[in-house]
Amino acid sequence: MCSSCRSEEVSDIPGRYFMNLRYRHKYYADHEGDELSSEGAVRAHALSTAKDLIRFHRTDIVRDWFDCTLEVTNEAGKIVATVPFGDVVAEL
Amino acid sequence: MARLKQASVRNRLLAAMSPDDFALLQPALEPVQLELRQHVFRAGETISHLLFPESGLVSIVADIEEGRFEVGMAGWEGLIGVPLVLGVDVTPHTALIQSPGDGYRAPAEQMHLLLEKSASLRSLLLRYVHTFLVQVSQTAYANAGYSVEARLARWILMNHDRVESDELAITHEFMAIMLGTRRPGVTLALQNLEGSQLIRATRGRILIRNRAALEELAGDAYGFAEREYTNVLQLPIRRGQ
Repeated sequence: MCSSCRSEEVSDIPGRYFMNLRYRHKYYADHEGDELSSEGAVRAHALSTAKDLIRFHRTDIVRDWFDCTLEVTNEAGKIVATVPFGDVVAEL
Repeated sequence: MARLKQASVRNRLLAAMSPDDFALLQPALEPVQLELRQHVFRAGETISHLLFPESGLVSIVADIEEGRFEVGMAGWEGLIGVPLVLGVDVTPHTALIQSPGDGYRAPAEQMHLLLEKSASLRSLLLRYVHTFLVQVSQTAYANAGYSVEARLARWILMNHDRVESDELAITHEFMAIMLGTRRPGVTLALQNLEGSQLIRATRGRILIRNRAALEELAGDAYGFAEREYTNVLQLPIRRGQ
């Protein structure tokens, strides 16, 4: 696991996890979330999301996807993982 | 069921066909409810009916290993089952109800016979097929050349053309599927459009505030297919026409 990724007490309980996006000083809250089998599945899901955004998502807003971070929260609003987009490269 | 009158139908193709063709088709039509997220037909399965939506919206989506994305859409301006008009009853695409509504449907076998019997009915439906192909081509063009913000603007406009309200009931997740991206990307694009006061986005809903500005943002990705529809079928499709 990368040094920048925070994942403390990992829960095995299935739940809804919210993929909030942080880009420089802006924060884009996710109000819908994804149903995941456990907290342990969060990082892989966040990396897959980041990878698809880098590959396919051409936007007028983000100049550099590698300035972005996915801040994943659980239903209680607690941050369970922080995944910088640069980690996609580290995983290759 | 009371005999369906052509004057009472909202589907543009049913309304535009000659009275003789409508009289030919009418006995085969049965009313159908379009429930959100139900499938009209699935990829690889036989298409049983040709559907003429009266309200609501149906997406034609491609299912691939990495997910699904929308390649075209139709509502009251068209029909669902383009392959049937072309003599094909199985397709690799899926028709998914994006917005609930209602419509009329006719069994595939009867449609096949009617299309053989009436050259004018066949000609009308084939002209629609042409406009649908232009729409799909424009989706490919938009995907290749435009940002998600512009594609989202195009998609909102196409929805707006096919519903009666200025408010669209739609989740970010569903929009992400339709645009072939991931949900955080849609959230980003929606906030950008909202920041420019083009729309107002609340959970599960989008209110269109400035249609003209959405058209400007969509650029050439929107308008080409709509003009073709109007030119070929002599029917309006854009809101305000």
